[in-house]
Amino acid sequence: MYETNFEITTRPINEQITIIDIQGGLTASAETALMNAFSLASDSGARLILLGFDELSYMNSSGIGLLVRVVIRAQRQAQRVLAFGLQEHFRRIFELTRLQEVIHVYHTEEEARDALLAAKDTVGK
Amino acid sequence: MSGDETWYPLAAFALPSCPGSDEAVVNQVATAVKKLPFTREKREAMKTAVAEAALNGIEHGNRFQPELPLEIAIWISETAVVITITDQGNTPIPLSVGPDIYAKLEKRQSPRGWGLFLIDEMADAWQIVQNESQHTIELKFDFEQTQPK
Repeated sequence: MYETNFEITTRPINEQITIIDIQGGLTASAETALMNAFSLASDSGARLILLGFDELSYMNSSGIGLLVRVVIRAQRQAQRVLAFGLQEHFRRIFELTRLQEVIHVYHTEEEARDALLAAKDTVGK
Repeated sequence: MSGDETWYPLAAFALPSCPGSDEAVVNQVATAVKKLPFTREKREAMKTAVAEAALNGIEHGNRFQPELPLEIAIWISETAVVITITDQGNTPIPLSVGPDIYAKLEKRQSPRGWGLFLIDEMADAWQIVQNESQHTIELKFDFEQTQPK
């Protein structure tokens, strides 16, 4: 009746890095789409999953739970999850929940790309 | 709501208990308090606390039964706003242990269970009032700067 609007898309940067853009609301409604995007990135061989939050407008505790599940899956497959583009309030939530300790957060996509491409030779180690 | 303050109703509405209603509650509350003296930071904190209180009522209180209303009322005094969110549940609200990200990653805790923790961090004060047929979560947000009379 009151569907949370969201759109989740994947953008491979290279063979090791894939961006998953999360637009709109991150709630339980996004579970299937987010997990499918993660599987798609993993199946293509990505070792670094970069979550793009530039267009995130809403996130509740169900969404936080989804991020925890993404990190669990990534750790199981020796992948790393990183993020960029969080608005100030969502960064505060990452700090309070300590998600930022397990999902490194960059301010912008450019900053994340630069850091990851510079550290390319350490990926997977 | 307690103390010596006088409280006046600002808005009241009800929504069905279905997925997505939490965001609709947040949007309606944000509109109702739009002209009140809160900083951007406190408005965002209010939205998160309201979202979690609403989600709690929809999931644990009304168990996603759309015919059961989630009732929201907003009260205003000279110094603060109180938002009450009432569901039709009659079982105690589980007061979760402090969420621990590492316990969750090791599956010793559910990935969920952040709601009351976030409410506690975001609201200036809060309490749960429970009777035989309803739970009500009261969230209080103080105005940033109270003008002297």
